[in-house]
Amino acid sequence: MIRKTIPVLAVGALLALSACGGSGSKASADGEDGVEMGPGVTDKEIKVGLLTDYSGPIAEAATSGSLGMEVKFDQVNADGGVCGRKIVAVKGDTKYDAQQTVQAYRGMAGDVAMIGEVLGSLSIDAIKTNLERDEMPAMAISLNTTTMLEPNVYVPLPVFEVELANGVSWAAEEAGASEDKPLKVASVTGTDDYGKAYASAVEAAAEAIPGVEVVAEPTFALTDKDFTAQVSELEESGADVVLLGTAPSQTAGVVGTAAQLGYQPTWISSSGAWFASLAEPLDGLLDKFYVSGGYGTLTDDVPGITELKDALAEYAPDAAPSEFQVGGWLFGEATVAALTKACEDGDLTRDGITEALKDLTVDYKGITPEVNLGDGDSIVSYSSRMNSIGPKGELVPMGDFYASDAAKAWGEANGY
Amino acid sequence: MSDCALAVHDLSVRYGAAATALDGLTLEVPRGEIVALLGPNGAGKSTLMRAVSGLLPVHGGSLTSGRVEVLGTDVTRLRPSGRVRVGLAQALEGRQVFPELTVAENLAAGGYVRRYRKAEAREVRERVLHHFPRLQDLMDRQAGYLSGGEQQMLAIGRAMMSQPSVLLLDEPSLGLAPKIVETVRDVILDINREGTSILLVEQNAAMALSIAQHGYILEGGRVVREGSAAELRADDDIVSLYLGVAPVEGAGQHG
Amino acid sequence: MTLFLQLGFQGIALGMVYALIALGFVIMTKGSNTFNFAHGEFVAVGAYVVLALMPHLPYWLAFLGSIVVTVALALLVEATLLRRLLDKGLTTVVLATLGVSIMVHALILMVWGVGTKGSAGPVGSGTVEVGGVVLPLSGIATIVASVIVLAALLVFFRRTPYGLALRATASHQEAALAQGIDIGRMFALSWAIAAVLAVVASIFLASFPRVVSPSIALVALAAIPAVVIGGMDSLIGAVVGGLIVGLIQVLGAGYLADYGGGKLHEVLPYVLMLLVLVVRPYGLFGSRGIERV
Repeated sequence: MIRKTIPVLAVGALLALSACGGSGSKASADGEDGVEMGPGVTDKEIKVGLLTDYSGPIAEAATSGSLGMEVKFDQVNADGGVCGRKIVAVKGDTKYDAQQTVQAYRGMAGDVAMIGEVLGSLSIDAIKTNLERDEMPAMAISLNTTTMLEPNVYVPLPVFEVELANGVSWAAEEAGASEDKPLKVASVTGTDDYGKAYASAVEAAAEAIPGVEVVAEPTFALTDKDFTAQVSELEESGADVVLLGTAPSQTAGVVGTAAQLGYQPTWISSSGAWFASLAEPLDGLLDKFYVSGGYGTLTDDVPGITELKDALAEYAPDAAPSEFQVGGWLFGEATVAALTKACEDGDLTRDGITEALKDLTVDYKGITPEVNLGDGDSIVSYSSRMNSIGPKGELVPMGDFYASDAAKAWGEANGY
Repeated sequence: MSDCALAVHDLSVRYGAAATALDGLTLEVPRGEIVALLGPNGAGKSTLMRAVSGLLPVHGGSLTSGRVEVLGTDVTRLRPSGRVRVGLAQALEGRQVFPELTVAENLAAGGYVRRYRKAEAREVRERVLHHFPRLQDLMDRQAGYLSGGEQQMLAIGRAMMSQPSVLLLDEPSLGLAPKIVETVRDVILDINREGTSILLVEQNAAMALSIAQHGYILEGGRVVREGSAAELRADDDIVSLYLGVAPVEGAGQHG
Repeated sequence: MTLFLQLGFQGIALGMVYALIALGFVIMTKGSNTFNFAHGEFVAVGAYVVLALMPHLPYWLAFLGSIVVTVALALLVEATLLRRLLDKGLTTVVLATLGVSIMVHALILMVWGVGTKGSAGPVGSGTVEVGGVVLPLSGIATIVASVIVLAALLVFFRRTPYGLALRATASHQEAALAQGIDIGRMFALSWAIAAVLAVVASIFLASFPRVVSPSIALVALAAIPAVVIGGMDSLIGAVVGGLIVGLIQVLGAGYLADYGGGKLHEVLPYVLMLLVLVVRPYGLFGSRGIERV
């Protein structure tokens, strides 16, 4: 399943020897076709760095995601590549560890045109100053505004805040909320910056919808092991709908405690608050639990998913299907779109790719609506889709992707 | 050799890289006797005790040569627990009771290696307490709150709980009032009369030689003199060197 | 009032879990003179092993199996690493336990990944209602089991030769050696008891609605203020300290949420810990050290 990894990692290690100092190589040359070329680009190929967990704790999911990206590159390469150049994935194993991420990044920094994916806020935090210094364009798999606002870092999919705001809008519509028939909503979030961002997105969405009011916003410390106080506050407030900006283990704590205390609101979580393994402990408590998800699943019948399945069958026939391949494929689409535009503009240097990323439109062929990357600090898409939970914890789509006015109002208010 | 309760042959000890603390030391405690071990501070008395009881490693010391036998059994390679099981018990210098434990618990800990049944334990304790009537009334008191003399009694009593054949006593009179020293002396004699052989380390040479049958004098890790207690008491050099500098209370008790 | 009772009950249940973990720390500290920073990871291992065995065995066998594995791990660490380092000084030993903690954590991540798993508690999600207060079965089980374990420990320490030997070792190591108590065996015994307590704590820490995840090891850190507040060498102190921390966390989340950015109940146990360190460094129940006469 991990194709070509070992030789490429070995090359990466060799490069590390020469690239430890300043890796922001500015040397550029013009190719035979007149395209200006920066680090990692030749007449034959374009190297793209993938920084993800190939052998650490979340390697199973992360390797699946990486595979989604690689088969996208294979598919493009088979069709002649990007302006005659093949895309080559340079893999760096972060082991989901800050120190390892820095090493892996340094090992590849001098020899890649861009970072196609860097996984997890922990890894992004570790290398964000390097990315800025090296003027290295990078796409991050950590879907929130905090990550999005880092310099040179792009998040090419809808962030969790968008998912939550759309969730509020969906709930209001379902309940037929109006000034006369108000809907009480609440949020549960952490006390950290991510949590504050999630809570303010829910507030802004409620503000924008007539008849929706936020009645409680309990927070939890990341070390909390008992959620009785938070759930009591929710119950006391009489909230009909609770938006969860939690991590999966806290989702279990909040929903489980509520069930024990006899409180049964409608739960709406972001995609980051749900993990399929929760279906077992929360068995029987998920009838009114919904996940607002920013992109589709392997079961969707859309051209993008068909392409992905074909590419998997062609280039990775032994790989077991996994939803993580969908996310990786979308990052691959965004990478290819950026490189294609940069080449068309005649500039495959890092500056050129950064320029191409600006206002780049990426067509995900139905897996999620088209996005526009804007200036890199903006919301790329306000669309998400509601899902219910299947028997094994899988997401079961309900209806179509939609972008709510409430989410847009939140984005505008914050200048995203 | 089996007429010896304790026999030490050619024992040499070193602490880390420091100079040799014991240098080819040999001594014997015949069955049923009290043997006194005298000498100035730093002569190696405590080191010998540790080498015999197996506590050297605790203090960073190690044997470089020699052999220790208890009742004819070579215990040189045994851990402290094994030596206690063979029949050796020690009352440490400075009393060293378990301060947080009660007197009863201290005594019970002394019998730990024997794995007594309940009735047995009670019987042994009765026999030991017979020597220390004072402790009878203090059974539930925390040992840390006892007086110095009571702690010394407890330390000896605790060692007796394993019903040893050989008892090592390290400075039992240290820091005690003259009256108490006398009591301790009588207890040691009592215990000896009931058949326990005793190696008695003392600064208070007068007290030690008054009850011992035999004595060794240590200096710089070697035996510099040995003889019967009577001989040593009669020796002018010994008298001036050790009895003269011995604590006043001891010197006055016999003459 | 109902809310107060509700939070109070949950606080006591959580506090009992902290008490079991804190007791493990205290027993190891007393029995082997080491502060074992890897204890939290022992708790995590306990939960993961129960979870792994649950689908294949009756629950009580899964629990016993986890005790076997966790005790074996604790003994392995104690025998191979710590006993060899003892003469290198306390700092070396404590740093070594930190190293072990990182290694065991990495091992857990390698075997089970970072993902969230199911619950591993002995009872499900049921509840009983008493006068308007909802008592989750998991909370009741936590309190009942903890009390039984504490009583058993008390009997062990007060009534058995091994318990006595362990207390003697904690009181004075050289004197214990001189009585023929095998100190090495006592070190191992104290670690084994702590590991058993860790497994008991772990199943309640992973009781519905809580689930098993690698962060379960961090909870042991929350027991450290409990240890200091109660007193490093006091078994009763560990229990009282655990209850104090549990009550502060749950009641604090309920009544102090509007102050300090909602983080007050997270910080308060540490504030109390520092306060105790300043005013009464040996803890509420710790011994000042009885003077030798």
